[in-house]
Amino acid sequence: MRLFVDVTLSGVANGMVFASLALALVLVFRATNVVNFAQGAMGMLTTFIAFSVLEHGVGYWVAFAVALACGLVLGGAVQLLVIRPVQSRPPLNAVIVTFGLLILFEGIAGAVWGNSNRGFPAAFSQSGLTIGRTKVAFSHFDVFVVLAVTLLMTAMVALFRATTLGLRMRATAFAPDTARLLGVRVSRLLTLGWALASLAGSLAGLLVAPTTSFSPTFMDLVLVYAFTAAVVGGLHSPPGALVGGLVTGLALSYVGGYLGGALEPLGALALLVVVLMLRPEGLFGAPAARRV
Amino acid sequence: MVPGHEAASVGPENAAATGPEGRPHHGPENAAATGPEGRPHPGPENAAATGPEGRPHPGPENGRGLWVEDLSVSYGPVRALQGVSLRAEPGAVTAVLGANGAGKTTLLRAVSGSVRPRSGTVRLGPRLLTGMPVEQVVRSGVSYVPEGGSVIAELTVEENLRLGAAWRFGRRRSRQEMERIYALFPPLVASARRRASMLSGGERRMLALGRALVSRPTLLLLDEPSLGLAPMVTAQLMATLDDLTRATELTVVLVEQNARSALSIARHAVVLHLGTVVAAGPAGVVGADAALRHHYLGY
Repeated sequence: MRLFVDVTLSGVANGMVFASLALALVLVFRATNVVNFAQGAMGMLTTFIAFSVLEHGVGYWVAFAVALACGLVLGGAVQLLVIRPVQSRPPLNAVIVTFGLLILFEGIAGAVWGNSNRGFPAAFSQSGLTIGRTKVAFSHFDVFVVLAVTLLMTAMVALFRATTLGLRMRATAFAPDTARLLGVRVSRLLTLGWALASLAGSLAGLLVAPTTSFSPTFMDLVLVYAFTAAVVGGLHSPPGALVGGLVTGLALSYVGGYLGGALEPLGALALLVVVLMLRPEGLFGAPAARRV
Repeated sequence: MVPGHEAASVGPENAAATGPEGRPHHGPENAAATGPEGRPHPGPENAAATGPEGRPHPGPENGRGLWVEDLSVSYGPVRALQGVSLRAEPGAVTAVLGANGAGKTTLLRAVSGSVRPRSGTVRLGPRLLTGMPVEQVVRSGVSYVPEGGSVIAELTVEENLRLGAAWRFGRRRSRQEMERIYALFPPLVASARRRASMLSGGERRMLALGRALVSRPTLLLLDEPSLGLAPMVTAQLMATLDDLTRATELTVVLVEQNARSALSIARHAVVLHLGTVVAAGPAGVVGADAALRHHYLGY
């Protein structure tokens, strides 16, 4: 029973991180039909920037904010400079370009910071909390993770549902040609969409870094799990990213806790295959046939 | 620009000599930016009912409305439009008729900026529209309702309307304009919070039209609004359009295969065939020409 509680809690914490990166993937995919395979690497890059900022003696929260700001800028810049030129071509071209970016960013990080493993400081204690007299596998840091991702998601929902800008962005994602006919500056909003997605990716990077060996490839596996989460939830659905993230986090945690950590990647693969076979559009996705 | 006209004149005519951001225009239009004083325009009554001669000249002194001059559009090797000229006056419906493939939709797409013409110009009042990207054309006061209406199915009726108004008006004013549209199309009120995908065909068409009107456009381009609608609904739609055009000095270009219903509310008609204008004249004259109807309009 103890194991179950611990495994569940850590599954939730991990799941929230996957949800954050999955949200980034979903935001980009539903607007442009491109899976940004470099999303994790972009988060990695901004986390390394935070690392450098910290090494200069700046406070943690300043570095945190800097990383998020760099995420915004990086996302917008990538869309503007790299993705826009290939947007009129088949989407596969853009996807391959993002693979190229993944390799490029990991190369840059290796060149600037080196490939060895490091430690990234955590904002809060990572030792388990004590509830009553029992110690649970849920730390202050995990609480922070859950709160941070919840805050991000709430902010996104508020933006999309309650503001005119959010309405325009949704229109851009659902029907870009019609949106243009309503005076929406679609190109600009696509850039903004990538910027916001990258912000979510940067948050994911900052939340993962303290828990793992911090090197240029530390986000690779997270991206795989986030992609699984996005597919499980539905590649067009932001709430799906949250649910998919939690489902994936929990599933992997159970596999790791009960069957052994080495089987986690297999667990993710199994989850992916099952979802694609039974409900390929994802939990929150609408079945295939779109606009008539 | 006629003072006291509250409706469609809020937008582009005020911009006149200077563009939307206050930047001065290129071109000779700067000279005669205000109003229709000066030479009275030639007028469609002078044009013959058959044949493209008597093309009215666009002139800066003619003020408002749409001028299309010698427009040619090609899709790769296919010539969709060749040397098409057209004048649409404010406060009137100009019908563009013809069979499938005549180039009617291409004409609207070119005017709206969705497709770039090979040659020719499009002018709305003093403003040159050719070469502008779609978003900018729309922000100059042009509303284009493509064939089928194209509402955004994933958004609610409210959201669709709000989007239509968003480029121009803030929250409060958008709300007022949306109320105006609800008054114009009462069936939309009940469905306001419903997703557009759940509306009937007629309701969707109303929504598309309402969304085009909410921003108080100067020019309204409609591509076969009656397509797929029951005759009674079509009649209602046309009646609403007729009233609206007269009341607000709106310039309407109405593309229709249903020539009869279009001619019933149009002042002026242009008939296209294989990308060229084969007839232009007052609606009554075009409608009365039996040979024309047989050859090009199918009745």
